[in-house]
Amino acid sequence: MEKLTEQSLAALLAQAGLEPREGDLERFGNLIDRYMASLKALHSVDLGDEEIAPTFHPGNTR
Amino acid sequence: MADKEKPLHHLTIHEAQKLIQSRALSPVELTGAILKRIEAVDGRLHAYLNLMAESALAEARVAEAEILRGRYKGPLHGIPVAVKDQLDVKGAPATIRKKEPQPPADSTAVHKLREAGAVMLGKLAMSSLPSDPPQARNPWNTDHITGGSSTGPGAAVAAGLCLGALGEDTAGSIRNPASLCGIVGLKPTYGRVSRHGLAPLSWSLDHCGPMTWVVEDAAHMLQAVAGYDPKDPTSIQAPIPDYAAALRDDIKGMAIGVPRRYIEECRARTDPEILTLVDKAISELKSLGARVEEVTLPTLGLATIANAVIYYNEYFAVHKGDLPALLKSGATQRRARLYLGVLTGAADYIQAQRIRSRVKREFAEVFRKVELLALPCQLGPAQTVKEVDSLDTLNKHLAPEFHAPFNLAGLPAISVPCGFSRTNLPVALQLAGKPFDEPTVLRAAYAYQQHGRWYEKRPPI
Repeated sequence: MEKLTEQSLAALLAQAGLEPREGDLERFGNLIDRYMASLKALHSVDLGDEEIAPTFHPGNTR
Repeated sequence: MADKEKPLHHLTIHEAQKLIQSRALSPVELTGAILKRIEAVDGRLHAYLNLMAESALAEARVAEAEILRGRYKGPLHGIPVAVKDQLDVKGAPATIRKKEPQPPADSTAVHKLREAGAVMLGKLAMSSLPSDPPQARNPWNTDHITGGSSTGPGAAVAAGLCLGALGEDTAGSIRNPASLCGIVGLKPTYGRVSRHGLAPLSWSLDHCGPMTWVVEDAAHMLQAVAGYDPKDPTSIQAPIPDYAAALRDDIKGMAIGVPRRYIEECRARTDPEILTLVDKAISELKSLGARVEEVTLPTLGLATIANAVIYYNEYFAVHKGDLPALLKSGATQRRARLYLGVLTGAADYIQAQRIRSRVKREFAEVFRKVELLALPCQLGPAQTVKEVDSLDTLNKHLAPEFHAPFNLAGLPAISVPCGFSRTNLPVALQLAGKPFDEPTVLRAAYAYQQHGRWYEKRPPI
């Protein structure tokens, strides 16, 4: 995952129908960069055939 | 009519219930004393968002009449308690809820507290509310934070502004303020306490649990709120043990695991003083007869970020309908969480859920060898209000730390005081157990508490 520029983040938000508050993208820039790096780390581990934690059970109606 | 050995606001639930049951203390006298205490110090602590003094006194009068008629309900009867704003209390403003600011009904946990005869004092502060009310302060030193997000419960219990409280924990929000305020905070197993009527932050990570001065009080409060609730689809139908009875046994022979490699991963961000005090506490568990061994959970290093990814994604979904307004006027931390939610894709969420699955399995393997895990419960003593940036909590969620792994795996975990920093601020030990094994968690915490006796020291406020 590449480092996001302010423009590309603004575009992502616009896609979701959102407009960032003025100054927010600059203010949160470091946090967003760290988050993107963490997402990359999340995908770096080989989980083999591990499935997701919540499992679909057709008989479970709760 | 009460035993006046110590101020009434410093009674534990366990002490007060004995006096109330024997009619040596009236619930009205106790509630009145707590209300006076709130009036005297909450101007400096900002623990309460909504104090319900009149209804609390009315409830105390009802409790007193019931007890005098011989209808004693149990350890919480006539005990003044309060809850984090996130939990609905009928008729009380819910600051966190934008859409339904006056909930028409009690949350299940509050309903259960009422059924147990507790007196509801009101709603307590939490961090990251839409309106940004004054920040709750730490009773050990009001220049310092309480830790969040159950800020009000941390301050209120430590300062004697209620005898017990309910908090909520998505990524450490019960255990963090408990450790920084020198109280006991128990995050129960996911599904043990109903989330119905709890304003959601993240459906699959939110846990409701007690925050109290001592371990036996946490056992009493958990007993009252635990249990299956058909209104919560994740509530579990499982027998409810006698939690107070679990405290009677010692910990001789108990196998306790220390995830040393993981603690090392967190070392760079942890104050050495915390590690020293927690190591000392673990040695003391050993001296009480526990068998301590090192355990390894290979994927634990990714648990905190996986927890954050699930948290922000679900948080984004919870608030999807209000996003434009929240981004315009929401508090800094809320806006930041929403931006991170926007940036998280489906593949990230699914990968986080796969890591959750792996971590859960690794915990299960470790718990075949040991009954409990022991580790720190904070990265440092409470910082000063001035030192803290509103994004610190989110930054903490992006690197290995001590709380989130137990939210991710849904395991019971408790924060129990284990000493003080050089600056006289509380430090805690964390103990975590197998799913639904709160009795073992409480038993070890109680054994340690009775050995360390840190509960004897109260904040100077």
